[in-house]
Amino acid sequence: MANTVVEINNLVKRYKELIALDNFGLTIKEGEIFGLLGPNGSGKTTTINCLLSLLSYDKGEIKLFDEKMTPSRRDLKSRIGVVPQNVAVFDELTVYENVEYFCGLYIKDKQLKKKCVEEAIEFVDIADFKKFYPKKLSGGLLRRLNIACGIAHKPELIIFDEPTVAVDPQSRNRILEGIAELNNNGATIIYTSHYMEEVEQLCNRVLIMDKGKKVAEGTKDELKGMIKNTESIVVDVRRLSDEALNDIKGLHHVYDVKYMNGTLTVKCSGGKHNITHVSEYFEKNGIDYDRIYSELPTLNDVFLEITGKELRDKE
Amino acid sequence: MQVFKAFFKLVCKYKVGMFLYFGLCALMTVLVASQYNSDSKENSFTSNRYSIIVKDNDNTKLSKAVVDYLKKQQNVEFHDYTEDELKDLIYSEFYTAYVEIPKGFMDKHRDDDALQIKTLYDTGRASGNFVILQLDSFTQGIVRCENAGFSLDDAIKNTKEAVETDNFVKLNEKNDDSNSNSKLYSLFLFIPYGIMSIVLWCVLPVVLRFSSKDIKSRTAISSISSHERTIALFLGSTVVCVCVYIAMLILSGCFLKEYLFTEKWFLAALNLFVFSLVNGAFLMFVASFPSKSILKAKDVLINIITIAFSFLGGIFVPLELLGEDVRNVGRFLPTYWYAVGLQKIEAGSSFADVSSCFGMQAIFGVFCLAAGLAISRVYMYLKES
Repeated sequence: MANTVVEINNLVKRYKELIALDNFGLTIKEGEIFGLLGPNGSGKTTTINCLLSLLSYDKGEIKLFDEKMTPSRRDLKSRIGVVPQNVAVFDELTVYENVEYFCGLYIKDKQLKKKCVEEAIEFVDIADFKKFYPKKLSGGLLRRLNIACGIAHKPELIIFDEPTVAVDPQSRNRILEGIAELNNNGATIIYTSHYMEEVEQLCNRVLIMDKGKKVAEGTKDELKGMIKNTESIVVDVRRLSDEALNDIKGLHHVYDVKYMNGTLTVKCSGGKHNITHVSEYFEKNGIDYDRIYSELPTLNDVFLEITGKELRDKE
Repeated sequence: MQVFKAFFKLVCKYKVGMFLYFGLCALMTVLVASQYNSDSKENSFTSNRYSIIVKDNDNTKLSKAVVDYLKKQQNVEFHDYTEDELKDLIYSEFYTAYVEIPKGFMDKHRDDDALQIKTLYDTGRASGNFVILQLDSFTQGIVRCENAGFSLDDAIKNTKEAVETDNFVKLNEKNDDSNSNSKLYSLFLFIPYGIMSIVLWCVLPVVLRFSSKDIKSRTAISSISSHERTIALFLGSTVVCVCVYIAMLILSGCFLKEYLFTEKWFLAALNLFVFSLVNGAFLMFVASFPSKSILKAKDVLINIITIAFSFLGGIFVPLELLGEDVRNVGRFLPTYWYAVGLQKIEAGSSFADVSSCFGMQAIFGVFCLAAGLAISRVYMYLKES
């Protein structure tokens, strides 16, 4: 059985009246890629900051590698790598010097440090830009430098806080491949992002949090199983009467239908042959349609259904 | 150590600015030193004029020549005082001498029983003797020329030429009210501005860079504690301050060979050293404010700090010229105590006398460190809550 790398129990963090974390808890096992999802202000960053002892908390317990994490636990900190959301590097230092500086915060031995720096630079594929200053790098290269600075000391637990914001698809793909490779090499990953497809592609297990609380946790399939919508059937149909809409709504497993701009969306909950039932209805009633296809729910659907669709940055 | 090393790597990126400011300081040093060099070649011995009272009862060609001669040599005033009043005035050094030319002086000046010029002076003072000797040599010169066959006009002309060309060097009595400060004082006085400029322009951005939110967080989650980081930055700043201090000392030393390793020089160097360390503490104080807001207003802030400290502290303007209110404000600044200390050193004070000024500077430094730590705590508290 895999060891527990992170264990958070009943964590409470208050900012005056606001409860940022409300008895929050999670467990991450060794070798996992753990997705931490939540809308803006849900408490993801507060959780990570508490985990890293950058913030104090009011109640609860945080354990890393089965040991209690405190600000003075340098031994535990040395086993963690962080890739922050903002690119945190020195503009005055070259790519190599930056990686060397952050690696040197953990590794004292010169030879070992040099080896680790070289490997990290190779890993994120920025060896050609070693002598470049960050200001001369593109957005994608900067992100990769940011990653190299966080992983150079070969940490066992790596926290990626939205590492692919504002990068092109090629760089994003390279970053995601790199994260998977780090995981294959034995690192446990905590990954936060607003890009659901990335989380879906990468993570073994996902936790969705909102308003400082855990609202769902599990594998992707487990999460998808938690929501009502198990299948959406989309039909391109030019004309559809209200009577037909009511009939479709009455089909078995269908719980919602929407017809807009010539597109009918039929949402089903459970059932195995829903698309057949819908197409049979059209044929039986002589209704012409152009195209019919089925969409399985995505993590995005799960996320929106669990956390709601209202905007979070209104206030 | 890693933060300490990286600190210097970053400081090196500002070496152009450092050299620029150092060059400016070197230029100022050369200018100040050259002022003293030119003085020593041509004007080292300046003529010091004494105030004397002259009374011309004769009012003839000869008596007028004597008065004209005295006017050229000294500050001549014409007053009517009683003898007792004159004695008091001479005793209290308001005047150096009193010269009265009697009526009929021109007619009888060559006679053996000639009317003598009446003089009143303090025989115990060199200045009084000097003025009377000048007068005697002039009148005797005229008599000698006349005895040699010259007319009175020619005798006056020749004697004037003789006594005037004779005076390459004149007695130079030190005047306490004069601004004749030594080269050591003048050179050391503006160095704090140079140190402050170099440190604030070239080191403050580096400390602020390390204190930026992202870098600070990234360092805080490493195996280096925030205390270690702060200490490394403080040590780094102090080392740079000391290096700048040494550079400034060497630079000024090139022009202060006659003062090197004298007691005055040691005290002045110590005064500057204390100021340099205090400057490092002040830097940490400024950097304890949120780096983002400081970086935005950096240029304006540094100009205000360096210029205000220099003006209020008596670096740009002598302390004597500052108003009482301004000096009261200046007392809260290290530059003020640096300047006061330097004045004491210039006046020949001992270490014990100057140490109070070192102490005041040190108190400012300790206050900066304590305030810096308090501000950091407050911001940390605000962040946490």
